[in-house]
Amino acid sequence: MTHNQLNDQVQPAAEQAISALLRDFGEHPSKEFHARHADAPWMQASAPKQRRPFGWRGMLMASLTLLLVTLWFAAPSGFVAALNEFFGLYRAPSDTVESATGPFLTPPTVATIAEAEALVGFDILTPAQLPPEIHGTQIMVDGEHPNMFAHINYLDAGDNSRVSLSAQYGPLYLQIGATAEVEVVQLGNASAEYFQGGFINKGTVAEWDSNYPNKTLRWQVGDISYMLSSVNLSKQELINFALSLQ
Amino acid sequence: MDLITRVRDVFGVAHPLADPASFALFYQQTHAVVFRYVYMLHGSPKSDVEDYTAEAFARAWKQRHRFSGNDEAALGWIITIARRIVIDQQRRVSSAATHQLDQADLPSTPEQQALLRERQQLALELLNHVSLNQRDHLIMRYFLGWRVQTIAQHLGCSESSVSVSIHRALKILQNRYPTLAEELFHDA
Repeated sequence: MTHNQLNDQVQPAAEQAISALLRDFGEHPSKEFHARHADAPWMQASAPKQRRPFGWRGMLMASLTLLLVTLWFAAPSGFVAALNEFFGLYRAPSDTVESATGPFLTPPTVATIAEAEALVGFDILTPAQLPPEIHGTQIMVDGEHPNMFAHINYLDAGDNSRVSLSAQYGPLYLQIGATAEVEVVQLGNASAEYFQGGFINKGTVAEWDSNYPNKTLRWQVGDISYMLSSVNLSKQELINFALSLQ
Repeated sequence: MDLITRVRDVFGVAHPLADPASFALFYQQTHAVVFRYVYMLHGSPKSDVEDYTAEAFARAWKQRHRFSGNDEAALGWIITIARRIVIDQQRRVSSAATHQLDQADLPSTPEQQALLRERQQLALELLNHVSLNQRDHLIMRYFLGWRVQTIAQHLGCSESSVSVSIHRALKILQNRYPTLAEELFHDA
C-alpha cells in the first residue's frame, strides 16, 4: 500500500485558502428578514426609530447623520465613509456591518456658539485660535435634554469641512471595525481614544477601512464628551486642535 | 460564573440582555454573524436560514433572564441556540440540503455578483463535503475566529478532539480541492 505523506499533512496554503473563504463569507439577511424583526418584541419595547424622531434613537441617528454629512463633504466624490452605530464604544464582530439606513435628517443650525450653549445647557470648549485655512463654522444642535449635543463643522474657503467637533452631555459612543487600531493619547489631564478609519458604505453593507484617512479623537471633560474628526488634519494636528480647546 | 456576573447578582443588577434596549443592541451587533453561521452550517435555501436565525433570537429573547455573562459569552450563547436549531432541523429532514446560493440573493453589480457568488458558493460547497460536526468546528475556528480552546470549552469537549476534527476536515478539503489555494490567491 502506497502511503501518500503529502495527503496526511494540511498545507498552510490550503488552510489559508479555506480560512479566507469562510472568514469572508459575507451573505446578508434579506430586507424581509429585517422587516420581520422590526416587529420583534425587543425592537418594539425599545425606543422606536420612526415614531419619535427626536427620541434617544433619533438623537443617535442624527449624530450619525452629522458624521455622514461631514464625511461626505470631506471625502472624494463617490466615496462615502460612515460610522455605523452610536450605541457604544465597541468593536463590531467583524469589519463588515449592515449599512445604516435613512432617512437621515439634517439637524437645525444655529448662528453662534453662545446660542448653541444656551440650547444644549453646557459650555462648549472651542479652539483658542483657528487654523488660517478655517474661514467659517457651521453649528448644529440636536437631541433632547439632558443629552443634547452640538456639532460644529469648521469650514475652509470652499465651505468644506476641515475638521468637525461634537460635544454632548453624557457619553458619546461609536462603533469601530473589528480590526480598528485604537490608541490612547494624553490630552493634558484627559485620556483620549484615537483611531483612523471608517466604515465605507458598499450597498447594503459597510466595511471598515483602517486606511481611510478619517481620523477621530474622542475624550471626556467632566460630564461632557467631545469628539474631533477630520480627513484633512494629521493625528498631531488633531491633537493640537484638541489641546487648544478652552 | 465570571466576576462581573457575580457582582451583578450580589447587587441585584439586571443581566446584560434583560432589558429590551440591551437585547436590541445585542441583536444589532450579532444578527449578521449568527445569520452567516447558520447559513454555512445549514446551507440554502436562504429563507430557511432566515427562519432559523429568527427562531434563535426569539428563543434567546424568551430565555434572556437565564443568561449571564459578558458580550463574548452572549455571542457564544446565541450561537449555541442557533446550532441546536440547525441540528434539530437537519435531523428532521432526511434529504441533504443543496448548498447553493439563491440567485435572488446576489448583490447588484455584475463584478460583485460574480466574485461573491463564486466565493460564497465555493465556501458552501466545501463545507458540504465534511460532517456536520466538522463543519461546525471549521466555522467556529475560521469564521467566528475562535481558538481551539474556546471551541472546546463552548462545546464541552476536549481541545484535542476539536483539533483532530479540524485537521481531518482540512485534509478532506485539501484532497478534494488540491488547487484551491492557487486558484483563490491567483484570482485575488
